[in-house]
This record gives sequence, structure tokens and C-alpha cells, in this order.
Amino acid sequence: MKAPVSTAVAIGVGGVILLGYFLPVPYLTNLRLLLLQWAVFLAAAALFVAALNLSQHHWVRLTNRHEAGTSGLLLIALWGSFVLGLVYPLHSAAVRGLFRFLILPIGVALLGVLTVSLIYAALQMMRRRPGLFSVLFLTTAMLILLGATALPGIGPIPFLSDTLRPWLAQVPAAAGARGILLGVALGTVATGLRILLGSDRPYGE
Amino acid sequence: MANEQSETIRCPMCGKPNPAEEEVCRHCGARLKPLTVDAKARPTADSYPQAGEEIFDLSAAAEDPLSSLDALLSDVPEGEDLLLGEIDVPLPEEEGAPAETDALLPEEEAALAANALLPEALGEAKQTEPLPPTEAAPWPEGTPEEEALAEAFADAGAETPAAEEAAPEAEEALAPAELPSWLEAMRPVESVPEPPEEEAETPMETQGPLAGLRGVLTPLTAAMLNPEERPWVSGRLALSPEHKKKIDILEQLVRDEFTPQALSHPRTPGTQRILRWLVAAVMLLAAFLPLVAPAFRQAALPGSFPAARAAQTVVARLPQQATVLLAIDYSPAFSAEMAAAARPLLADLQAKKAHLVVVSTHPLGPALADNLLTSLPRPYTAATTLGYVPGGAAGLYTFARLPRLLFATNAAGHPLWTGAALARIHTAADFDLVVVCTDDPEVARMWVEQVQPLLGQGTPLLMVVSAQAEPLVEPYYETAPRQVAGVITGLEGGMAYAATREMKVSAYTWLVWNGYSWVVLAAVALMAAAGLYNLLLGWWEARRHPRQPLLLDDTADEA
Amino acid sequence: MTTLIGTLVGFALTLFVLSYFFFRDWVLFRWVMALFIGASAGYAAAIALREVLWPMLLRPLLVLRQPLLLLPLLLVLLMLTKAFRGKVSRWGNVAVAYLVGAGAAVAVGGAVLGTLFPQSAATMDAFNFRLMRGRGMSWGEFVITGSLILLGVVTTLAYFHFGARPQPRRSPRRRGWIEALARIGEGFIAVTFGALFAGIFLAAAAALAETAQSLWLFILTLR
Repeated sequence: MKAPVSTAVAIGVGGVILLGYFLPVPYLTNLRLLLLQWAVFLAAAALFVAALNLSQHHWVRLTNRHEAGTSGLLLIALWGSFVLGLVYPLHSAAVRGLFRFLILPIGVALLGVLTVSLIYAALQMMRRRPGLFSVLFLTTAMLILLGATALPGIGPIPFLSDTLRPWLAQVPAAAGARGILLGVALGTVATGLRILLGSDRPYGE
Repeated sequence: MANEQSETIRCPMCGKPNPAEEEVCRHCGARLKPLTVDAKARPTADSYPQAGEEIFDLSAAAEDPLSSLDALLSDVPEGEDLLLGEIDVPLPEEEGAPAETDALLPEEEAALAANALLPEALGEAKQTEPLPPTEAAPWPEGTPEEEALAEAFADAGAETPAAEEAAPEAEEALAPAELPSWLEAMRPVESVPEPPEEEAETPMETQGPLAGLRGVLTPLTAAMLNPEERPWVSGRLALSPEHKKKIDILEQLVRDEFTPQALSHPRTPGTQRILRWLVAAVMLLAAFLPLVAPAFRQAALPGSFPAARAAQTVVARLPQQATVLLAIDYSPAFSAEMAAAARPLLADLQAKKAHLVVVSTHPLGPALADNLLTSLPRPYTAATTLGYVPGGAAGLYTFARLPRLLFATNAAGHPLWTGAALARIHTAADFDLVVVCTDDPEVARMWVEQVQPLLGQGTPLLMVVSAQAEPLVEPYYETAPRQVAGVITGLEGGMAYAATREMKVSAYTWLVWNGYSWVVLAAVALMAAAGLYNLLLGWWEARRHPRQPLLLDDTADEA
Repeated sequence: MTTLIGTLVGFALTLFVLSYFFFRDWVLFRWVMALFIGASAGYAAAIALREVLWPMLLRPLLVLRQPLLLLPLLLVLLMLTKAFRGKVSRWGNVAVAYLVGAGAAVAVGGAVLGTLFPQSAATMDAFNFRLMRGRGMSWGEFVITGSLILLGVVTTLAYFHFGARPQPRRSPRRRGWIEALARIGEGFIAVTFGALFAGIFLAAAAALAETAQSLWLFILTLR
């Protein structure tokens, strides 16, 4: 077997935690909470490692002069906000300024840009894939959009806003969504069990 | 019986008997007699390229394939038809090379003769080893019978007739039940018999399809690793124009591999670019319209949202000075929509003097929570920010079971769980209400799966979600008993909640709501008009040019 | 003054982002993206250190002397080897395995108790007569709604059933009745995806309206 230590760790830790769901033994409960607490530390360390890797990647690009300006700016922003986050507390003016004047305006505007891409994609879809399901998709989207707003001078569109839209959301769309959620849950169980049995080793060989 | 055996050969491939005179097996077609070279039939000097004909030096190519290809190809006369090729393999000098070779060097001839005697499958693998010109081909050794066979082949090296005579004698010695050595090699390595001492120095393959075979792959030696000590191998190749074309293609492919290429941005056709600009202009116009032209502002509110009404009912039942767990689990991009959705609910909680305990599974969540709570008309001061819970589902489950395990103190070391509102909290079920604000259906699912089962009936779970998450949260609301007690969806959900509670909406939110309504209406108009046009156009094109069926389509298979 | 400069910076950054409408992925847009990603990642790393690793692990270990925390500290150090290149990063596999094992166990437990059981029960409740009376539904509404939900869930799951039988001289196909159910399921999925598409657009529309509003307010301030 490849990576026996890693596999044993994954199976052992996962097995204890999973058993705790179904066996209410106090000792087991405490042990699994302790193991989960350590997993929280590891997740925080993983976030830190991710930032370091991002920094390394852009440092290489900077030294190779491949889009050096963009990478340099990213590195300045990364290390600047890192120091700021370490030095200043959450409720400080510096952190509030970072979010109010930099992160929030850019983030919100980026999402706003998505409107054009979505509309453009919808228009193209009808041309490239005309068919029953495309029509059904787009009709549902338009009915829900219309039902979610109010017409000038009219207000909520009668029947559409108070009957059709809720019905669409609560019956056919919810049925499809429930099928998707059940499928996702089944997939989660299957993948999780493969990891816990050692068949899948996404942590490396 | 014995006579019969002496006149038959057993095929080394299938083991079945064949008449002694057969060249190949009657049953499986495998060669029974080794290939030999008739010394008289050797290629003469005339059959090789003469001076001035195209020569391709492989040793130079090995150093720098591209440059040597360039140099050589530049000298190739156009249209010259050279069909014969030659690869010269200079090997370390051997004794006893035949003297009658006039066009070939002695060692070259020796190599040719030796290679010709090799069984086909092993010929290439052995050609770099020094071999006496008349020595036997390295037929796999091991059993006495095989050695006898090898000896017979060695005798055949000088003259073909001798080889033909020697072969039956050797084959006679083959035991019928013995496996050929190459087949034996397929057995587990442990079961391969110990080789003779002199052969034991040759490394044996231990893994893969060659397991058990000795000397098939030459191991790396210091001489190979050191270019100075590497045996010099030269190659000269005659080229025809056909070859040249192929080499050109290969050369181009190799060159392209090492040439950095700029990312090509697909060129958007002009009409599509114009269409994109048009869509962008319409969207921007719709967003700014109510801002620049007050005549386009409207006072209409959205329709009713049953899930938002249910959320309002839950909040209405909440006792005064309740302790509410507030999860701010959205990304910065959704902060505008999420704030508009959450503000009316927070105003209600504020009116009830609820104490908020803020937590987030998003690293930027605590800062976004601070931004949200301070952006209310009256900043929400009765709030304790616990902070960030890493680890996704694992972290969330741990927090729900034992919040104090994760958040014993704050960063400065001060205890967090003091005061009337927090002192009674030991698990998530001790909160009076849990409100999750998220834009991500996965995060919403995580809260329902990891936290809601621990809450029980006494602590309802409310969701304030972005419109994009609502379809996948709805099934959790449509259960009995409800896993999610109420849902406030996006900007329109917040407006509907405020309308139900007859709250005063700020002028800022009102203007955003107006711009939002116009953007949505413009989008629906564009989608309806252009979608209909494209639908008709698509059908028209589909009728004119029927699409080719896919490979996996059954009709294609049948065709 | 600081607020004014900050607002001006925010205004300029917003304009650069909106320039994507007309100039696509040009240099200023890329710079703004770099700023956004860098600032978010840097602050997130600081939070991981300041709000999690220090108060939950390092402080109790160094100040309160809790020796049991040496084990997670070792795991954290192993995880940090993932930031290096070469063979040393392989040491981190044990820490990643720990995280993956814990995450998988929690995900399996949550999926079973939080989604599979309750959502299956809710689907079976589609024809729960007591529930119908509790929600004040009419018979017609009850039958139609219940049937549609049941049909939608079953056919959507059938759509994601990929088991197929090999056929002589043809590509493998699902069984006929599963294929028929899957076609119906595709319709339900189209409706669900239509709702999701509308939802994403509504979120984006809210963001665009907010952006326009903030730009307009700044222009009004300059007047």
C-alpha cells in the first residue's frame, strides 16, 4: 500500500469521528471533539499555506518578468493587508477602510459586471441550442425575474408575483432541487466512505 | 516414438510439434528457425550511399536535434531519390573480424552479423554489447537444452548450411514439457531458477512484463551518465524527399513545443462585440435611470414571499433580550444584496433588544459583519463577535457542539462567555435563534446538515440568502417539520419583509430597489426579444444545415 | 480627508471594474483584480493567524502550558511544509490526510442526518393527508402538488443514473424506462436551473444597482 501512514491517519481519525455520530459514548464524544478541534487548527494553517503559495507563485512571475506589474501589485496588496490584519483589530479604522474603500467596491462591481455576461449567454443559448429544454429554462428564468420585481405604475404583476412565481419555486423547481440535493448527498456519502475505507486518497500517495 | 520426436520441432511459442523442416510453426506462425545471414548475400559497397549522397549524422543530432537537422537539411538536393539507408554503429573493436568486407568496417560487419543472428525480439536490446563476430547470439540461457540450442546457432554464424544442419540437433534436445525461458520469465520472479554464476552479474528485471528476464534493459552505468565515457555512436542516414517532408513536420512540432506562444484571445466577430456593448449600455442605462431621472422612480413594492412571512413570524415570537447566533457567511461581492436582505430583520432584532453573537465560516466574514452592523441606521452595539471558524463542516460541527472549545478567549486572552446573554450558552441549542446570512447554497446546506439537527425545536434556524442560493435552500424550507423555519431572499426578500412589517425603508435602499427593478425589466425585455429572434434564427439554421450526429449516437453507429 | 481620499479610490476602482463592459480584460482591470485578490488573501491569512492559530493553539500552549496541544502543533508544522517545494512538502501529506479524514467523516454524517433522511421523508410526505389539512390545501392542489414533487424528485434522480447496458454494435444505453424517466427529469432540471439562473441574475442586478448608486452619490458629492 502506498502512503500507509497518511492512509492510516485518515481512516483512524475519520472512523472515530463517524462512529461518534451513531454511538453516544461520552468518551468517544470527547475524543472526536478533540480531533475535530485539531482539524480546525489544520484548516487555519491550510489557509495560511494557501496565501504563502499564492505569494510564491506571483514572486516567481515577478522575477521572471511575466506580467510583473500585476504580480507586483498583488504581492503589495497581499503583504500589506496581511500586516494590517495582524496589527490592527477588527473594529479599527484601518480594517474598516480596507473593506469600505477597496474590497467591497471592487467585489460588488465585479458581481455587477456579471449581469451583461449572463444576459449575453442567455441570448446566445437560444441561437446555439434551440430546443424544448432551452425554452423551458429561459421561460422559467424570465417568469421568476418578472415575479421578483415590480412594474412601474403597476407594482407586482398580478397572478405572476403572488401565485405563479411562488408555485414555480415551491413545486417544480423545489422538486428538481430536492433531487439534486439528494444526488449530492448520495455522492457525498459515497465519496466520504471511499476516503474512510482508503480507496480514495486525495491527500497524495 | 523416439524417431518421431527427433523429426519434429516443438514450437517455442505454443509448444506444439512441427516437422523439422518447417521454418515457421504450423499452429501459431512463430519462427522455428533462427534468421541467418548469408555472407554472400551481404550488401555490397554499391548498395550503400556513395560519396556525395545524403548522409545524416545521428550523433550530431543527439547533441542538438534542431541545429543538426537544419544543417543537414540545407544540404539535401531537392528531388533526389535516395531509397537506401544505412546506420553505422561503431562498436568497440573486436578480434577476428572477417577480412573480406571492403565497404564496411570490420566492426560494423561484425555487428551486422551478430545482430542478424539474434532472435528478432532481442536483437535491438543486445546490439550495443560487444560481441565477437562469430559468436552465438545471446539466446536466453538457463537450461542445458537452451544452451545446446544456442551453441548450435553459434555454429551457424559462419555459414548458413551449417546452421540449417545444427538446428535440428539442438531442437531434438528440447524437453517437451519445458517452458521456453521467456515464458518462464512470466512466472513470479521468485520461481525463476538461479542462473549460472557468469550470468548472475547481468541484472534481472524484477517488475513488469519483463520480470525475470536478464540483461534485457541495460542499467545506467557511470559511463552512460558521463558523456566523456559514453561509447560513441554515430549514425548516417540517407534521406529521400519523402523523409525530408516528414522531418520538416517533426522539426516544426519540436520547435513549436519550445517556442513560447502568446495566449490568443479569440477574435470576437464585430456583430457580437456590438451586441455585447449594446447589452452593457442597456444595463447601465437601466441602473442609472431612476437616479438621474426622478420621473422613472416608482413606489411599488415586490409581491409577497411566504418564506419571508414565515421568518417574520419566527422573529415576532422571539422573547425580549434573546441571544441570537448570527452567521455572516457571504463573500464581499454579495455584501450589497445581503445587507439589503438582512437589515429589516436586524432592525426587528434590535427592537427586541436581542444580543447578537457573530460568527463566520468565511475568513472575511467578521469584517463584513462589522460593516453590516455599523451600517444600520442605529449601529448594532449589543453584539459579540466570536470570529472565524475554519474547517468548513468540521469546524461548524465542533462549534455547534461546543462553542467554548473553539472560542475560549479572544485574541487578547480575555474571556468571551461573560454577561447574562452569553453565560448560559454552552451549545448551539442554547441560542434562542440562529440566523445564517449566506450567498452560497453549499454553506447553507452545511449549516442545515451540521447545526440544525443539534438545535431541536426550541431554536429555529432562519436563512437570509442571496437570490442565487434560494432554489437550493427552498427544499429545506418545504419539509415537515421545517428544517429552515423561514427564508429571506435577496433584495426583494428584504423589501417584502419590510413591507410585511410596515417598516420605513431608507431612501438609499429605495433607490437601489428602483435601479434593480429597471435592470431586471430591461433584462427580461432583452431576453424575450433577442431570445425569440435567436430561437427563430436557430431553428432556421438547423433546418438549413442539419447537425452531424454525434459518435455515440445510435443512428451514427448504424450508419 | 481620509474618507474623501478613500471614497475617491473606491470610485476609481469601481470605474476600472466597470470598464470591463467595453474593454474586456485590459491592464487596469487586471490590476484591480490583482489588488482585490491580494488584499482578500492577505487579510484571510492574517485572520487565520491572529484569530485562530494564536488564541486557540499557540497562546494556550505557550502561556497556559497545555502539553496536549503539542500534537496539533506538530500537525500544523507538517501542514506548513506544504508551502515549500520539493520532497519536504510530502511531510504535509499526513496533515492533509488528517484534515481530509475528519472532513469526510463529518460530511458523511451530516449528509445522512441532515439531507438524506429529512429530504427523503419530505418526498414521501407528498401524499401525507394530515399535512395537507394542516397547510389548508384543497384536494386538487394536494394531488397535483404531491404528484409533481414526487415525480420531480424521482425523475431528477433517474437523470443522474448513469448505469448502462452494453449493446451489440451500439453505444451502451440506459434501460428504456430509466431513459423515459430521465427525459422527464431533464425537464425538472431545466426548470430548477432556470430558477438558479434567475437567482444569479437577481444577485448581480442588485450589485449593479448598488454600484450605480454609489457612483452617483459620489458624483453628487463632487457637485
